[in-house]
Amino acid sequence: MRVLVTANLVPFLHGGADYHIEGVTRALKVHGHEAELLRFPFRFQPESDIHRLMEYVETLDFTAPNGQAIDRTISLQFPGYGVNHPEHVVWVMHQHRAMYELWEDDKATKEQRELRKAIHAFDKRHLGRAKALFANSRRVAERMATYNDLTARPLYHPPFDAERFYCDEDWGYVFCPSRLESLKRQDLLIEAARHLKSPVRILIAGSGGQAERYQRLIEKHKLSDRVRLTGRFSEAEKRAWYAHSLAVFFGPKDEDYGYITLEAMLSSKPVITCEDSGGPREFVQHDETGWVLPPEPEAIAAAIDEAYANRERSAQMGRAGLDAYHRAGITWPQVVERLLDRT
Amino acid sequence: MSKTFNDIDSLIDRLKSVARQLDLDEPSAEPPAGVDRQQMLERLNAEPEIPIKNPWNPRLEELVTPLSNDPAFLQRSYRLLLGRDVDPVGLQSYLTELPRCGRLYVLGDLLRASECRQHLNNKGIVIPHQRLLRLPVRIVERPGIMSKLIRPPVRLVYRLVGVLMRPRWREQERLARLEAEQARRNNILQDVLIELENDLRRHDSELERDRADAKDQNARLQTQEEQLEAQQEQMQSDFKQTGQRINELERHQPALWSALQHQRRAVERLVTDPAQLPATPKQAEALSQDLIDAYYLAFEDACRGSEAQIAAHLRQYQPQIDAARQAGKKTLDVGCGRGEWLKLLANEGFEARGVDLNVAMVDHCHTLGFDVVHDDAIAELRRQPDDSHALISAFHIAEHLPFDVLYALVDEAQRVLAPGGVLIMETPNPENILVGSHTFYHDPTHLNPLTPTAMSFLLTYHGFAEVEVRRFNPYPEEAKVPGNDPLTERVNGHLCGPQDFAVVGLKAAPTELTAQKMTEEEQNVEASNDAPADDKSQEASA
Repeated sequence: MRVLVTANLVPFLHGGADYHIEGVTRALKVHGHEAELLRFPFRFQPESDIHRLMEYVETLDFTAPNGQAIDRTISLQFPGYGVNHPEHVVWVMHQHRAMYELWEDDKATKEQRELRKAIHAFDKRHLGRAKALFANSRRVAERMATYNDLTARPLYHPPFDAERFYCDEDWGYVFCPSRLESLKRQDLLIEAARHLKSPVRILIAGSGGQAERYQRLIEKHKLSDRVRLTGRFSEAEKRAWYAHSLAVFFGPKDEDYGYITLEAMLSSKPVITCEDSGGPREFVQHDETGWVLPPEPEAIAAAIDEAYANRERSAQMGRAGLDAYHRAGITWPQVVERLLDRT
Repeated sequence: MSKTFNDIDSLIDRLKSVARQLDLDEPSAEPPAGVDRQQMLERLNAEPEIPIKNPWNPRLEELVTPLSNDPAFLQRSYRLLLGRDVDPVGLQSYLTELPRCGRLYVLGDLLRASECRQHLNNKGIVIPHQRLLRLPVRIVERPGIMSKLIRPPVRLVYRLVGVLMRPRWREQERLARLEAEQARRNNILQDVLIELENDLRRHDSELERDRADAKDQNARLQTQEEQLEAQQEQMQSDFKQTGQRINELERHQPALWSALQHQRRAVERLVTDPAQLPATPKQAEALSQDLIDAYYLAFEDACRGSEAQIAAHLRQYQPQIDAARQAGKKTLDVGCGRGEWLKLLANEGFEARGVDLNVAMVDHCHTLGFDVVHDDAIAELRRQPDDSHALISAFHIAEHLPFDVLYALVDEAQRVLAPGGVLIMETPNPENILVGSHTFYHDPTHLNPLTPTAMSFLLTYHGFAEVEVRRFNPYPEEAKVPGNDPLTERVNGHLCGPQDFAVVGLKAAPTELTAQKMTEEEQNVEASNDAPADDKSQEASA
């Protein structure tokens, strides 16, 4: 099958999205399809740029460009799903979040309001007529149901190098790998460290815009002996640090999907997450594969102490997490099969 | 047992070293085959823990767990009621108490602890008959004599209740265990199936990929083979061409050497007589003539046929040679060149002498031991007495000469030849259109083609008898247009006919006039010997 994949390209701002986009394209090729990746340059500012890009993609018809018939188009991001194709499958990674769940009405400018209106109309128009509509996670599907009154089926995909995660003896620390951004809420974990009764240490890995603020917070509470920002990490470091952790903390605000949950499960570690964390809640079962808590430092501290007090039980929860991951059937072959399903 | 680290830095250092080891140990991204299934098997064989159906509202038999041993009962009760693992002190003391009071009593004792009540409150866990279990224990465990006295009977009651209830509890627990085991096995089976399916998919896609790769490789191999073949062919033809080029170069080489030699002489001549510098126009002319001579030698070398071919060609003049033998032994070859003809004549027993204007040719003949002079042909002829020669020949000279010189040449030859002597003049044959219009002009010193008719008349006019035209060197048969109809024969005749012809004649009986003429000519010869270069502009080299 000849498949066109559309997505965005935000120059030199790379993250999970790039892995997802390249992962689908590679998986399609591995399964013997001819796949081509088309990425639209995307700028968040000014608003007129987004208007123009929306208008532009709507002019594109990929039924058979230059006489090259394309069997299916798979779009992953806004506004690529606006292109025209009779067999257009949309797998929404996330919508333009600033105009949905991250919208702050009291701070919005006139231009932003206009853009929001245009994007809502655009999404309704194009997502509604997709041949099949998938969401990156149940959370993303819920948002589409809430904001656009659309029904999307969640379709999960595995994290990068899923088969290489492993489990080893726990060395009594909580691991938290994520970009250092406000939405990831590492500050909850730093604050929780103040309430810990057990000697558990906290390793926060990653880089990002909030590094300085988090570091100041650690120093302010005199937690340098217990909490550490370890900075960027290699793939091997990531796997080793998961493997020796007691538990993994991942408590973002309304995350779309979140590879960290899955990586922790693949490393047989229990996950501490929050009730409002979005994606992780689809995988973490409270008291079985981790803890789902209110986003409060005290609650998080209590869970960490509990994990430390019952290390054998914690390990068991981790193993339950691995089993749950396997049961969920998160594999690339399944993703390809569902995206190319004829029905 | 878990490792402990003195500080956070040593923990991080240790983790980094583990990661470095990972980088070394993991050359491949794929896990070893069957790891997942091995884990499944381990899980299948593991001793199942007796489950609690609803941890927030456990049943009594799940707490007493009559099928487990005492330590397992204690660990489970601690986890459930206190939310932590059993501590060694608690474990030890309860293990000694258990045989006397039974599990119900221990449960009651745990329930009365404040740690337990707090935990149950926090978690919202409800234990059946909580108060009933707790209250008596609370009373009898109070300090005081009263409590001490009633403690043994109360314990006995607890034990009795336990013993009475045990068969039922056992039954129920067995059932729960079976159910749990069933569910657990279902899960494992599902996992195994999922794993198997994933493996199958992976294998399928691998197979598919391998198949495609093999196809690709085959196609690539084939094109490579074709390319190799083409390359080989190319190389062979290159080789052949190179071989031909080498042969050609080898043939040109002597000519280049002799041209070099010739030019060196010209330079030497200039240098040895510095008095003559700056060169007079005449000397300059002599020099440029030398250069042209060298060029011509090279040209001839490049274009002439092989020695065998030349010898075979000259052999065709056997009739003329035989005729000449009747008239004596002396011969003169005008424009003798490299001396091929002289060689043949010498072999035939003649006194062979040659004359040539080209220094390089003359040198060449001298090295072969021939009697050759460097001079103008007419001047040399004029030096010869009347009726002295049996054979005079001029191969490919006539076409180089202005007509007056050609006329003089034939005239002098007629005088010098003895009666019955033979004149041979060979020249390109313009009856062949390609010769007349094309190949004749390869030679820059050729003036104009001469026809057999014109040459025959020239000899006849000068009194030669038995004048005859002989034609040689037609194009090879394969060059001809196939067929033998008149048109084809005519086309072949004009395009592929003989490329050379010779006019031959015999000197008829002597006349008295020739003797008179001779003395005059001898005087002329003396004069021309003083300034041989004078005539050069008039006479073409051969």
